[in-house]
Amino acid sequence: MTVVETDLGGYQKTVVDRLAPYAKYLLLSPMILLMLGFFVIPLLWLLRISFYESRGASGFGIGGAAGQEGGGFYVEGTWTLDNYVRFFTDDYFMSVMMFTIGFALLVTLVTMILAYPMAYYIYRAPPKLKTALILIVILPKLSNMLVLVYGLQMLLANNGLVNELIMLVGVSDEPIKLVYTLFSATVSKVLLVIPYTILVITATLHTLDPSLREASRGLGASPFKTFWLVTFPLSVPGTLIALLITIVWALGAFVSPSLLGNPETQTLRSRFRSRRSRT
Amino acid sequence: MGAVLRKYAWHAFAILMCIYFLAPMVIAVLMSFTPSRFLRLPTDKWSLRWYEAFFNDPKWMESLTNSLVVAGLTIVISLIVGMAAALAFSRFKFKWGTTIYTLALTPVFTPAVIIGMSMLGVAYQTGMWGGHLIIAIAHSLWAFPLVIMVLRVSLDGLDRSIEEAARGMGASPFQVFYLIILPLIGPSVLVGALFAFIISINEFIMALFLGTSETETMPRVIYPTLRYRLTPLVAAASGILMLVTVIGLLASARLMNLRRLVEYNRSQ
Amino acid sequence: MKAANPSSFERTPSADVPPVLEVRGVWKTFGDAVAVESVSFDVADGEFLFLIGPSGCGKTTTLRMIGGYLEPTRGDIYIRGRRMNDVPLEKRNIGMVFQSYALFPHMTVAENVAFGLRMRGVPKRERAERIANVLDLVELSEFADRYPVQLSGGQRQRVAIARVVVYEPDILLLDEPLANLDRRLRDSMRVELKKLQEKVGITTVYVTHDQEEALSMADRIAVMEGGHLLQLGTPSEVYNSPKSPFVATFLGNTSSYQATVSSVDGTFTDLEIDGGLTVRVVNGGDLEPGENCLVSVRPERVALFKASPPEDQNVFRGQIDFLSYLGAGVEYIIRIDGTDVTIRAHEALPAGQPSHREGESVYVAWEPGQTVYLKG
Ligand SMILES: Nc1ncnc2c1ncn2[C@@H]1O[C@H](COP(=O)(O)OP(=O)(O)O)[C@@H](O)[C@H]1O
Ligand SMILES: [Mg+2]
Repeated sequence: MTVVETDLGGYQKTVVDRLAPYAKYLLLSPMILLMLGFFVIPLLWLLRISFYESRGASGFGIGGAAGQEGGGFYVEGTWTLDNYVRFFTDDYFMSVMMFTIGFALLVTLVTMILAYPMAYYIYRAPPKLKTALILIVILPKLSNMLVLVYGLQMLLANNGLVNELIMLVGVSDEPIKLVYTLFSATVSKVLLVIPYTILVITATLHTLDPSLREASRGLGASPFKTFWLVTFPLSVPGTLIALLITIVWALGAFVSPSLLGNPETQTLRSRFRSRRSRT
Repeated sequence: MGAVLRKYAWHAFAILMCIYFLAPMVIAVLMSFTPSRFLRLPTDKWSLRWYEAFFNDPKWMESLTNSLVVAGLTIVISLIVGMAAALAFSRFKFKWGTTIYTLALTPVFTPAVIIGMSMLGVAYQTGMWGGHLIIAIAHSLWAFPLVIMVLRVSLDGLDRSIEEAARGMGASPFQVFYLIILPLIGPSVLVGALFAFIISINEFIMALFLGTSETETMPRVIYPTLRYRLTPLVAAASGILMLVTVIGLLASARLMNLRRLVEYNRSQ
Repeated sequence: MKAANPSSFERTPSADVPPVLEVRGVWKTFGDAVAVESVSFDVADGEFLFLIGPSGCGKTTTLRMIGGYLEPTRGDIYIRGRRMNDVPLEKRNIGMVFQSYALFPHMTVAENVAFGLRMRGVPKRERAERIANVLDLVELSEFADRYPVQLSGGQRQRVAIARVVVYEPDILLLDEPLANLDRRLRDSMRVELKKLQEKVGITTVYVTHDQEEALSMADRIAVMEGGHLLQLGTPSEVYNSPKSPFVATFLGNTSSYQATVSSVDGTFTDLEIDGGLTVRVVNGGDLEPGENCLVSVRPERVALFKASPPEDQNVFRGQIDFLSYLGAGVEYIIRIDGTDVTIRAHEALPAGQPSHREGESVYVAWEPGQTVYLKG
């Protein structure tokens, strides 16, 4: 073997060659930095704030951070469960929370009932229609939610289209009050929440092997039986993820306008509150 | 007979859902064309007077500029972050690949209040509070996961041997990126940019937490007027946002087969 | 099968010119799985070497290690005496032709061909000239401004070759380049490729699982199986003197049998095979009575006779079990009377009609010297 003698010497690695093995981590690093610096750490910080002793009279639990400037509402370096104790013993906060959770569950339920069939419809739609439906579904999510809420208000107003339709059909002679009701609140929140739910379930359905459905039909199962015995059970894991996303979003979608004082939910909550009579 | 009925009911359900999705937006936009001083549907006459008023109002124009600056920054940040991450996910194997990928998507499923509120602390401490940049960073948290999704579908669809061929012919990894990969996934990059733009231009809760009156974006100006002074001017502002959003979405659909976003097997 | 007698284009590496490519004890493992195990071979300047073996035997893996697309787990690769293990692929000056062609869809034919020259900083003027030359060589001059989607499969194939040949790589690597073409195109491309390789004189490693391709084009053939390199030699060496049962059965059709040596007798040796039949072979001097070995005979060496077979050959009487018509020839499967032993015979069909039919009784005969035996 004359190999060693003919060797002309080793190759001089360049900087790029040396970095190459780490390329995949280098490529991920901007995302990791963004996620850590502006998502994970801030969330942990928010959690930490909730364990500070509060300084002012009105810092309320987690939300206290929102009004803080230069450390006004909390005492740094302290650990206390006070905020939580106060939160859970305060009738007002508890009523808000119970209402929030209850309403979020209602929104989640309605969302799931509407989302699954819609997702299945999209899944089975021919290609062109499918693209159109995806665009329609994603539109409310990407649009400004104020525009959405206000469009709905206009629709449901006493002189709105829905009421005109109701009177035209003759269900009722005079307009039914739809705005500022549990109904209108649910309708608007579901619309804010449902797009991701539908898209996640649709994507889940698409991961299923289509030949399973064909096989089931070939073995003599009706379309309904096929759905119930094959498609649906296989889509459960992805649907559970969609459910989780829906709950988080339902809570969030509720919290946002109520914190910010959306007229609609404020009214709702105050009615709810007056019934329970606040101390 | 029953089967036919069921089929009609099935399509009727889908149509009703579509109306539910579209009607509020359509109404909001139609209102903006009213000639009246009050918010009502234009019946016989259409008018652009409120759009004129919008473009003549310095406050609205300023908010539009702010919105565009923030959206521009959002595009830059989310494209850089999303492109790099999409390349990593699609071209390399990670031990916990699926888990990391799923975690990377979590911000998009996180409500805006939570993001906005939690970022307050960082915003203060870094002195970025109130600036365009911090709002754009917040918006990027919603935008970059979508950019990753869009680009990954595209990147995974490319024949790997094309890149190998380029390397083999003497191209460095960087040359492969901008001579081969970038031109081939160009449309998807544009779609990612459009999504980032649409998200940023419409988002207002994070902007409310992190911006000041100097960096007020359009939705922030809409918000109080919506509460106290429901004029058709607000409808015009909403109409402009809707127009931008719909055009952006339709352009995306032309540039890329959006179906692939849901048809793409995420578990691969 | 004409390929069995490659006469004109046989070439063995000469000792005084150092090999262009040296593969030294190369291994590749993926996790626990060993894809390539201790493979070594040299390729001489201008040589056309074939890597052949069944699907999954490690051909592509070996080729990709040579090209720098994969790093060997163990062992070294030298090109023109320079160790290549750490050299990134873009600095190896190798031309790889992919099975999918991997043409850049957003570039025209000319731009595709220009790519390698651009990467090497060749000035524009010289580039144009070289592109014109190479397109002329592959007869695609009129297609310079077309995009890959506007080309046929065979044309794409030629672009894929032209764009690497143009920068004069040290080695040309081809991974099943004809696999995506239809039969007719494949046959004509085979001839063209061979001519092109001779014209350019470029050192080439060609991967295929198609034995006809290998036998008809190769200077030398390396037969792989299960990650091992089993045999390396000229087409006639590996075809006529296989060193292992696998090589014997993989290259071309063959009938092979387990056998035991029953008697050694000067030049001839008698072997007893499964059905109690005795087969005579020419003794190479290395067989002892009682030894086990494998004997095989190529179908085209076996002749059929309706009556009066030749005397001094291996002769058996049997019945034609099955006949497959192959167009230019016909293949019979004959069962030897009184046994379950079958043997294949190939008959060229100059007259157009097979001389025998299914069910017919015939004599099969072949010369002892045509029987190949492998010890162990
Ligand atoms: N990237 C890889 N990861 C894991 N195993 C691989 C990889 N590439 C090839 N293999 C395995 O290595 C063996 C050889 O593959 P390959 O070289 O492609 O075979 P061939 O080209 O001869 O058909 C096969 O068993 C294959 O499954
Ligand atoms: Mg292969």
